[in-house]
Amino acid sequence: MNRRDFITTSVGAGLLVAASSRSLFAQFRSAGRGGTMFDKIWDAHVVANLGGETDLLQVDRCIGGSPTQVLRLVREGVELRNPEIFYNVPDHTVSTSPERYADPSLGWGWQPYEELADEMRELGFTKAFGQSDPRFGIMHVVGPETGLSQPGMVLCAGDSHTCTHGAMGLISWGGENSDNILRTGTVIRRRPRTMRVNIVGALGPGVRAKDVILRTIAQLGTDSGTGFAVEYAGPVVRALSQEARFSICNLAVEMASPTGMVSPDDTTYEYLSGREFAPSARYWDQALAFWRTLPTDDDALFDREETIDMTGVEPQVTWGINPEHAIGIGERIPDPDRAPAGKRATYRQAIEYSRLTPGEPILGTPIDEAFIGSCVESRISDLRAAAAILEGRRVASTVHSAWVVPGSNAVKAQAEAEGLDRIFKDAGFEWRESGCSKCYGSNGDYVEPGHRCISNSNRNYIGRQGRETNTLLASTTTVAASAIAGSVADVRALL
Amino acid sequence: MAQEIRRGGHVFDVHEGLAAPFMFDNVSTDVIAPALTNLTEGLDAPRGGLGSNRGATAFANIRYRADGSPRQDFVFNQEAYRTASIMVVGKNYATGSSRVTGVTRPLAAWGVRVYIGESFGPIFLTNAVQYGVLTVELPRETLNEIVEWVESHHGVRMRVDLERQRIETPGRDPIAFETDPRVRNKLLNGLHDLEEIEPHLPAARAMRARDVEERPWIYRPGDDRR
Repeated sequence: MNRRDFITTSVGAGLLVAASSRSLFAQFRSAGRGGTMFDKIWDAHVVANLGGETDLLQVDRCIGGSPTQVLRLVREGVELRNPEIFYNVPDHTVSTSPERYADPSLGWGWQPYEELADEMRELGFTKAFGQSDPRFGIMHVVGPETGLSQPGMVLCAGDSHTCTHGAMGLISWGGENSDNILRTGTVIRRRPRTMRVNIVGALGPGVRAKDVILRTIAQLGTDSGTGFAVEYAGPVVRALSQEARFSICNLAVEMASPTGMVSPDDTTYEYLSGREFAPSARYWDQALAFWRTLPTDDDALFDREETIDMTGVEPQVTWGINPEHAIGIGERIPDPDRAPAGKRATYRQAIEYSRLTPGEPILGTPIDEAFIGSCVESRISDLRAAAAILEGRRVASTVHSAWVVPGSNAVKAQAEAEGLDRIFKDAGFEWRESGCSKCYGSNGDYVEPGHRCISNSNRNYIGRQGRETNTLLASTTTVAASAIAGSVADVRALL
Repeated sequence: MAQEIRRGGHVFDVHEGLAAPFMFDNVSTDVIAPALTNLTEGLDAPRGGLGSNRGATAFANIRYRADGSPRQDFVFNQEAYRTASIMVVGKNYATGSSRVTGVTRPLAAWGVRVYIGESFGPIFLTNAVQYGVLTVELPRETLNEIVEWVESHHGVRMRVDLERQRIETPGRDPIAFETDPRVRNKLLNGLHDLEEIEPHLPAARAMRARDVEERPWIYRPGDDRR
């Protein structure tokens, strides 16, 4: 019986009446509703149904409300409620050059952020973090790191990698225009179906969360999540650190699901505890009790289930022009003529654009640039892993540019306190300020035309990092190892 | 039929126009609106289609050779398709980043009003509705038939009827399609999001008030560390 049929029966209607007089906080479990974490959080946030599968939802947290947007609405006379649910970080437009503090005109599309933000802060939108703010960083690093992204929330933003926050046990998606949220505190959203990706087996040496999600997308396809919200589950996910779980959820949108998530557990709660905007001691026990009602039930029903077995899976690298073109580090570049019929045209286009030879090993492909940064893997645990590979080693002299861009000002400070920046610089990497940087080449930081860049980011589409550039996606440690070799390298040889 | 492009509240009932085939899968918004040639055309961009000067930067990285010369195998560089207002696309079209200012809005302003494809990037789907652009999902076999018709009927306009939910290709039987009922209602009536939300504002306010009582820590971030 599907959801709509359930509600039209008298039993369903009775339960619905009962539910509406119950609190948002209360558990609502019933047969036919799935029992997944996604269902629980979605159901609790529905204000009204707008026809078909489209609901009006309450939003708990929004990355948005830029100073220009908020002030424009204020000048229109719009009443803005609940400013405390918003936070704004101009991560896409800042320069990551160390000169950016002395010269605030660096960066593409720079505005006098602080002046406008001051006006906005007076209106209650106090969480406007300009580049000098200790809380500043990539928005999908900042939310969890400051404790703003919490289990059980509906969190919306404009940027497509908003799925990252789902690793905290919440529902999030990007592509949202925050105008509706500023004006009404709600969004209109079509309810997706639910998918669970069970990740099993054990991770081999040198294999990281980024490899897990690249392998998942290669196996299921870059359009496999169309119309689904995806929960990543299974023993591999349970064993990952909280920071590693962000890396997995970050690429949910690369399998066409804007909503990726992981059920919360003690790892999540411990990560959150004590952070600036996390529930304080006064509310902690109450919040924890609520969070413990969220994880997917043992008997939950998903619309689709898939399994990814990581046994024997190598570190991954992409060779082509979309994230599903991932192969093991020891494999050969595919032959388009041997590709499944529906993929042949894309493989041919990819081979032509990437200037690679089918049948050749991907290992040893020369690289011109190396980039460690982005909302995928730029947190402190990722930088520690990169530093462990780079310590006592040097970037190859043939590599034109090697950058490390920490995920936030806090990550940068922590890394410097641990001496990681010294390791990066001694190895020949540039140690940059925090921001989105070369992930998408539109803020003054881009890969040079004609260059091949191995990058720990999330998109390798044609021209993504700059015109006429080739992007090879890999994990942070594979990027580090490849920078040392000057070519695509197997990090396991350095462990 | 001319459609005025405003910010929200667009009406779509019927559109007649020329179609262009673009049957590729997983075309990313990075490809449609490359970062270094970000399309920043305003809402008042004059018509002219993707083959016009104003549309020149769309798809730049796959549309021009390294020396800047147009590739003749690219559909919008071909005379027959320069003024196309309907695109026939493959799977997961316009996947990836939102790029609403680089993709949906300017392409809508230039005249692309309908996309017919196998499936669409999730964020593009939401953005398209905002700008009165219709997305129609059909199976691959049907798309192939439409492309075959387009390629053998240059200059013949297709008619896309949202009211009757069908595509008319002169000389062939009409093709039925389904649309999400809420999207169909919104486009036929030109409802702005806020008009859809307004009747439910009291319920939204009540839910929020209750939530502030029950999950106060969300609304007092960083609070009471006094």
